Amino acid sequence: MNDDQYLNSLRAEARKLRYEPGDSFLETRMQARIRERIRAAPSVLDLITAWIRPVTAGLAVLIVASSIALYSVDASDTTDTLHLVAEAALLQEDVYLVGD
Amino acid sequence: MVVSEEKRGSATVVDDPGERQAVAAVLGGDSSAYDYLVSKHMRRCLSIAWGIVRDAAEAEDLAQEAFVRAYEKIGSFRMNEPFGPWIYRIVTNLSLDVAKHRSRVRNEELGHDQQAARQERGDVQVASNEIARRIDRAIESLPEMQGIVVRLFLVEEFEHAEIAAMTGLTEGTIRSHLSHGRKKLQSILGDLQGEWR
Repeated sequence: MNDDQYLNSLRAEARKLRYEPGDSFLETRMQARIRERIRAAPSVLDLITAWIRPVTAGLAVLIVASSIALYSVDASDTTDTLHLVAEAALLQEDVYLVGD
Repeated sequence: MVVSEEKRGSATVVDDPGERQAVAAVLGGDSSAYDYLVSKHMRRCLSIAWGIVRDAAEAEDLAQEAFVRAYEKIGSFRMNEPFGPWIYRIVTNLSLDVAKHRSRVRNEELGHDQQAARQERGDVQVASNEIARRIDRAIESLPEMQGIVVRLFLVEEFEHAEIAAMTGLTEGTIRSHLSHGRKKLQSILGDLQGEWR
């Protein structure tokens, strides 16, 4: 028997060593699991949505915060102006009183 | 289903239009078409993984993981090539990673006797035949990578180039592993030559 014949005989016997699962439901079970994992895997659209959603939320928070800040600055400016006018008027009156 | 067959040694590459259609459908967004590919290649993937990790539950997990990864990367799959070698490469790589990790841990934790006991566990449904069982034990006695290469060649009947692509080794290294492995197997199983004459 030469090397090639020996190898062929060895292969013919070794082929029987291929794994054959005894569990007849294995194939169905594995297919179901794979299907489940594949469906759970995000699509390109899901990935884009997942990326855009926090960016949009961040922008919205920024806009609301800016609006509040602008409003409060505006409001405090008005209060300050009124306060200054009142002080000035009072000051004027004091000067006038002193001068009188 | 089978349109043409290209024989390469004892390994057979089958041109399957159903497979191409399934890949095209998956690429088009129809994930249910993937069932065809899973069903066609699952048993071979299980066998490849089991041959490397020698544990049924782990082989099942690895085959499953390989199919999920293949699905995720299907955009990089070349349509004019068969799906089989691609998924076999993925499952081989995953299994080799597990085997390498396990052998590192095992070397630290277990003694040689415990290793042998683990390899002889009852997951083996195969080898009802005594000669096949002897061949299995002989392959197991080879150094790890040599054993894996010999198993892919003898049991799974892949050719040198296919094993090289699956394992990431060069064809020269594959030939060297096979040559050394064959010599060792001949010395262990020398008496079988007489039976096969």
